[in-house]
Amino acid sequence: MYSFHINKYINENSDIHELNPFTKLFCMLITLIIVIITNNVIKLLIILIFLLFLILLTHIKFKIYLKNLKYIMPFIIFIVIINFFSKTNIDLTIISILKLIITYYYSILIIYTTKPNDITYGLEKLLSPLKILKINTSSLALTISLSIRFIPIIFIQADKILKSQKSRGLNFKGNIKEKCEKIISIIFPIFDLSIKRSIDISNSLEIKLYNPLKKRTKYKQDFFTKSDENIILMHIALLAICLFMR
Amino acid sequence: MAIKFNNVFFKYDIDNKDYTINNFNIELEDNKIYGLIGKSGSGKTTILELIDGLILPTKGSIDFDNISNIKKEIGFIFQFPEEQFFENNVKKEISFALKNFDMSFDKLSKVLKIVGLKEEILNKKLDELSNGERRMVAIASVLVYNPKIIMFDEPTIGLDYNNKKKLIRLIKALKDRYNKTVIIVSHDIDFLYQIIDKLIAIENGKLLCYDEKYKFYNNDKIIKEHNIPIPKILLFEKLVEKDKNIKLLHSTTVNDLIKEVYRNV
Amino acid sequence: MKNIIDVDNLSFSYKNKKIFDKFSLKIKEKEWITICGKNGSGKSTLIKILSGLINNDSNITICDYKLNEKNIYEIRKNIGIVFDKIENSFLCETVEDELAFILENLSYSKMKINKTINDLSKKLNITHLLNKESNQLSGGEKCIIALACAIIHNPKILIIDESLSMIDVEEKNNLFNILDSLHKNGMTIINITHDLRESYYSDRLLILNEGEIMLDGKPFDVMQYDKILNRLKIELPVEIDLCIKLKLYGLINEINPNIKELVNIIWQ
Repeated sequence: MYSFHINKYINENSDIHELNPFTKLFCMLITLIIVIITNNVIKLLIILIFLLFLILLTHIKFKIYLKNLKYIMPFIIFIVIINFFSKTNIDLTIISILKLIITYYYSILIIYTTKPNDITYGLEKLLSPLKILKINTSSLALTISLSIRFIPIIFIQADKILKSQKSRGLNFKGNIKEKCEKIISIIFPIFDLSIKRSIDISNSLEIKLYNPLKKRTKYKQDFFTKSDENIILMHIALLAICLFMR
Repeated sequence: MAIKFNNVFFKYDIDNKDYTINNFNIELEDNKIYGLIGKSGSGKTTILELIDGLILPTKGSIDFDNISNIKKEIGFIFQFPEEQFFENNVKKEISFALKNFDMSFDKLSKVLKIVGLKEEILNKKLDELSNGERRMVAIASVLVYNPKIIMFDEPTIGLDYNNKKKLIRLIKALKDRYNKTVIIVSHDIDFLYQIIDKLIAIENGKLLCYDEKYKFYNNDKIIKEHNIPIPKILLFEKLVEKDKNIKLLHSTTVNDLIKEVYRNV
Repeated sequence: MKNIIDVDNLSFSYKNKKIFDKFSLKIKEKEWITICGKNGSGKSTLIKILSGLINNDSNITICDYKLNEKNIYEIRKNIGIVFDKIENSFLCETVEDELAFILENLSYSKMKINKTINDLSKKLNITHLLNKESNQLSGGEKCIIALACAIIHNPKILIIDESLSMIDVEEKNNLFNILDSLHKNGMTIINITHDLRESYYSDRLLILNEGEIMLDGKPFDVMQYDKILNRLKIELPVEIDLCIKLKLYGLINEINPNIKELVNIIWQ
């Protein structure tokens, strides 16, 4: 029907796709730590090359990754301009740009290779230490998961409403106020839809005996293979290199 | 020829392998009521969206006779149209199209009469109305700009019996009194049978069968192979002819059928 | 056969509007009952009350448990509901996750969950759908999956709340065959619908109007009251309307929705 997906998952057969989602998120966390504490161009370049290696492993065509460059270009240009006018060191500019590219493309890598619900599953495991703070991570993960799954539904509904308006001659004539009104007018029915959906979901959860405070079985298969171990070790090694080298 | 599909192909996503609409060719005449049937996912709604210009054919073309402005001359009443209301006030919702097409507001009283709603409803809020009234407001919102071609997507779902009867009278009036061309997508074949002139069956985006409604059901092989639903009244007539060798005159209502049965018993 | 649901003198108002006033209803074990009524007749409210989604302190007994907060868990273990907006009841990403959800909540072991899902999938012929995302299914497939999710924990009562109006005739037939076999295996089925055709398989047809039971009996007996149904704005299927008029003319003796048989009876 509608191939309207906010889901940017790209299905390929690769080692990265097979990894446990927790592994991927944990490694991304390690990479983020490295990026924050490193301020050395050479080290950042090493990380970038490592990232390119991971990207190659995903078996997704490189040109698809390149398509995403256009979204980040404005930010790169912005950094260059700001640093030029504040007469900052070229080195610092390059470091900022490298950090931006690494963070951005690592996220893209995760999104392309991990289904949204797997991401929330990995997130739930990653956040499990928060249980100490009495935060219910499992129902938090369910909430995030339900919200993510709602996004395409919102888009489909907005699309339907727009179609109904276009069919009745919707145009974007008129002054700014009128144009804004037209765009905002879609919000009301979507709001309605959201509320109805929330009520329905809450009813379903109750009927299906969901009780986040009670112990429940986790059916999802949890595979932790050698590949997962290896990748995590690689990242920890990278962290060690960046901490202790020069 | 009001509408002509020329070798139309359509797919939503260029990367898709399969076409949603596959080499569709059809010629629809003016001032007739067409029924469009097919399993869910067969492409019925897509055909309506193509006619309305909401989507464009990937290959092939659609030609219109005497139509300069597609949006203005074609009206499309969606499935569950009440879910697409975006104004809170009835008057604003119905007159949305009038604003867009620069038409005068004097059409409002007329369209309310046609759908059987009272003028007082214009001042009400949409959430104060009953289901049936909301459906009629949605229909009025499309009829108000007087399109030549009017398309309904599953208009009877969720309607109670009284409103269904109103709808049948309305659609007949659109053809007989207002000379419109009407296309109705519905899975309720008995409802369609009462009002249509011609029937179009679609499967997997391809045209399966297209004929005047009685002749349509002479294609026994296709009907059987593709499990096309038969209106109960027609089924009765066919079985009487086949098993008892009696040819009844065609009826579209139960009362007419009873008279025929009584004549031939 | 004893009563599996016993509603005794239910009174319920919503926003100052009386929905039920001293309403009583008894449903027997293993009964297949169809409830019809126009919008606003109270059908959906009744379901919400029976499933404990709406609180009220009336005298309702379900599966020998009095309906109250203490017992609601045990009662819900014995009920499966298919709601009308099926897309909104899918909570998980894949079909398999969805089927597992209630079993996880009931603390079934992983092995038991696996076996239960596999057995049910084979029975309903949905094994090929297990790995699909729930939003990629066709309308008919969504219905079957929603049904599967409602019966996977083997409840005694299955409630279908106007969920079947949007599916094709063929898919509907398939679904009703499944319901029929569930019924033969002892499940109590409550089907809320606008479409009287859905009552052909059932044991009992109940017509509800503004919180009152107007008609209650065997489906074809109830359908004879065409004038009352007309007044209540409930549509008679074409073939039933035909039968009633044929009966009036003395051409047949009882209602039979099967056209072929009708023709044979009239012209013997």
